[in-house]
Amino acid sequence: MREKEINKLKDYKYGFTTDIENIKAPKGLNKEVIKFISEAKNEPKWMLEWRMKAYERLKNLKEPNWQKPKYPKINYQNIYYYSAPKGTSNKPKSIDELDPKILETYKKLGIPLQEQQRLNGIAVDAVFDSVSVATTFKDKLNEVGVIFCPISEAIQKHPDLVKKYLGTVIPITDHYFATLNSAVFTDGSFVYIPKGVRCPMELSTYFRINASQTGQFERTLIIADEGSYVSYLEGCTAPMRDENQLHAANVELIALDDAEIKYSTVQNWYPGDEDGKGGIYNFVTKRGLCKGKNSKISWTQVETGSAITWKYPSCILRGDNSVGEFYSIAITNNHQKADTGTKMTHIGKNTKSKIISKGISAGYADNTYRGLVDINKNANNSRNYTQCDSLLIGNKCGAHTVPYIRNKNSLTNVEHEATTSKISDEQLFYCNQRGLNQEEAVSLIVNGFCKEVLQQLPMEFAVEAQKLVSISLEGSVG
Amino acid sequence: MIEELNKNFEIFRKTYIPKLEDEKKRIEAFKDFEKSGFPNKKLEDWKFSDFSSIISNKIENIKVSLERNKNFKFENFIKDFDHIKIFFFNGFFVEKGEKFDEKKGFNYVTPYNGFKRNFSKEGGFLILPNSNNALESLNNAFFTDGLSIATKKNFEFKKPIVIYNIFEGSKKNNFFNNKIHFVISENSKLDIMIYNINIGEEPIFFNLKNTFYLKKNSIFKLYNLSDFKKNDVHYNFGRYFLEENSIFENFNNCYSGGFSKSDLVCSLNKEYSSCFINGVMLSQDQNHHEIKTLINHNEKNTKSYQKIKSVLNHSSKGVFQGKIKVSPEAQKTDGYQLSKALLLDKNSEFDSKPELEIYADDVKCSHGSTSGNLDEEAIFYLMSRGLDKYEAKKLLIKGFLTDAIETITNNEIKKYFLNKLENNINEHR
Repeated sequence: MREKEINKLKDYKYGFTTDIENIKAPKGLNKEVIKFISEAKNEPKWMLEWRMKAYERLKNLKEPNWQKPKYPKINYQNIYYYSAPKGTSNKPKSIDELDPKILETYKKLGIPLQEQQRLNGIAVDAVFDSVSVATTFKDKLNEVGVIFCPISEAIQKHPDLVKKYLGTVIPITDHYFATLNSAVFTDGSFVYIPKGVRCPMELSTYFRINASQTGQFERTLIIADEGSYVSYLEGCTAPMRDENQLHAANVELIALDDAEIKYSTVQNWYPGDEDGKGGIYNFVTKRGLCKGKNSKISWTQVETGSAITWKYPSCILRGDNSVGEFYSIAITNNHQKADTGTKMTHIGKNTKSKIISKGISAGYADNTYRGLVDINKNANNSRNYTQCDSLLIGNKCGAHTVPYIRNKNSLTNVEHEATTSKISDEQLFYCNQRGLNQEEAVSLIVNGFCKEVLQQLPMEFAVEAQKLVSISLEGSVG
Repeated sequence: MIEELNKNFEIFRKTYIPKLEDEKKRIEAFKDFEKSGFPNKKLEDWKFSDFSSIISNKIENIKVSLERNKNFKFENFIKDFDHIKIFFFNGFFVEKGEKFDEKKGFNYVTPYNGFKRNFSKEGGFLILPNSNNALESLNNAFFTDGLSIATKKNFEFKKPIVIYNIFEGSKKNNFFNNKIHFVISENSKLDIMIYNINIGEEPIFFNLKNTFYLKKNSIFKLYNLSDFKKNDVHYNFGRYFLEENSIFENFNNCYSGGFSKSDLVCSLNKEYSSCFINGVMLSQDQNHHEIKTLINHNEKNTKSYQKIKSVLNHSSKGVFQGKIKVSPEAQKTDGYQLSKALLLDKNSEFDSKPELEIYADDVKCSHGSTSGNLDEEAIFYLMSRGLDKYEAKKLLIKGFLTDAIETITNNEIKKYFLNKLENNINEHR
């Protein structure tokens, strides 16, 4: 069994590296490196100043230490903050001009960029290490006025929008990793959906860490103007390495009156080997602001990868009648650790939030749900429903629930419930009896357990996620 | 305030005659406290109750004086049921209560007061553990008196014991530290009620540490009740250790006092032990009540059950922090936790943090937490049957809280608490 398990894990499908020439900034974190990044991106002066402000602030900040998963101290001077495939450092070019090796990489990842040009499907922004290498379907999106481009391009082409919204949801004075990101962020996606437009296709970003000893610091900014709708997907992979790599992204969503943003993530960074060596530290700040009336932000996440996942996609429900949703599956196996959850801050009247979290831990893993529901004084008639279920497979793993509930309004209704259980022998026996083997049975039961969340994903992703759920747990039973 | 306390501590040490065997422990404990100061909201355990600002708001200066009122008179004890009475006045044991008689089922009873026996051997009453809980350190540094009791084996107490903690503070004397330490021996059965009453006008700070050891097959019920004044501060730190097949039942009433926090740590150390921690809060007049529990399931086949019901009105604040921790050995654990709160006015607040920390896979653990207002339809239903709005609300609140009180298994005490609830609701506007 053990051997099988090891072989299976070696099959982390995305564990390959691509051999291409890179342009890197000098190692370490200092003013010069920030200037280097800013210059490489050809950024205007205000952007550099913004970064410097964050850097100054960073000096006075300490890494947070309240979280459950502990990790060895990160040497911030030993990381490359910028790494770009040669030839893309200036401007993302058209797909035909891309280094064929990069295209090959994306093909291996299951995202054939060229094919997607032709087929009607999803518009993809592909981020390779520190830069966005290709964005598909730009023209088609342009027709309806949707802006979907790398954020570095947006800084140059749409400075007004970027200036107006960047840092309004995650201010540069936020916690350590968010501030670090503000200082050194390299690329990411920028989306603007104009008034009344329903984005005609799913938008998607694929993140890939390739170079060794680099950190990926991407920044995504999505603005949905009045009455618009967008569904955005995000996927991530990284090569297998012995070292721990840092991924500290910031994602900001802003929904104006009557707008809706649906943000889905399938996170499958390299989780480390079966002894817990290597893997990505996924320390991500994601926050959405329901700024306008009747706006809605919905987060869906499937977290299967990373050595340590530490993220709390949050909603600030400022507009009256706004809605926040959070659907999450976090699967941890071997020595993976996940500390994830959400924050729902109810400020406006009649605001609603719903949290469904499913945690599954196997092997030696620890899985924590940590969430905050904060009902402010004026949030009359607001409503929250939280459900967190945990499933334990094996007796060496842990499942924890740490919800914080603050209710300052008497006209609200807050409900929270949580359960912890294991896959019962009866359930397994029933499946076995009907001809499924142990692993298929577990996969079936787990998929059923997660169904509520998987349903929320767009179809293409749901299939992938379902497979991921099964793969991540292979070898954990028996 | 801490500098003032330091001066106080020096005087206290000089004037307090019975010396501990290891007096250094007191000094160490005070140093521990000085280092950390009063807990503030930066500490996870005090996240929702910022003690250092609460205490400075409620009490101008906390002071300890060892003056003892010889003319102690107290007649206002519970008449509803027969019980064994034990009195403490301003933190000192008073020999007016029950005469302890070994026939009555006690192996030993040692009021700390006066060092009549060498009881440090008996159950470690005087061993002051180093603590990272600042208020426990403070208790270690300043404790004046307490009670250490071990029951006889195989003895079933017919009457409950009521420990009356009576206070009449003054500006010079408003800080009281006691310790209660019980060993419930094998196969014995005992019910205790701790009743804290402030009969004076000055606000006081009462810091109580209680420790109970439940031996094999014992059944122990502990009930807490306080009659405190608007600015009184009460911290109750309880530690309970359960052995095989023992049952622990605890009920907390939070009706009065400016601030009260019950910090309960219950360790289910042997198989088939179970604990039931329940409570009600009916807070008004800017009261601030907190119940914090930590249940350690350390062995298999253990069970815990918690039900906390809270009603908050008139700018009051309620907090429930509950944690069920299941260690890898504790398979077949059954853990249940429920907190429900009603917020009746705009300025009240209810915070909760129901936590599960689970390291074993074959367990059944669940928790639920809700907060909201009274059901408008239920009010309408009652009004359509002739009750006025006030009566309807009262009835619903009563029903809501009675649900928790019904879990009490001592019928006499349940009845007494139901009456108390009734009175408190009637006062509740």
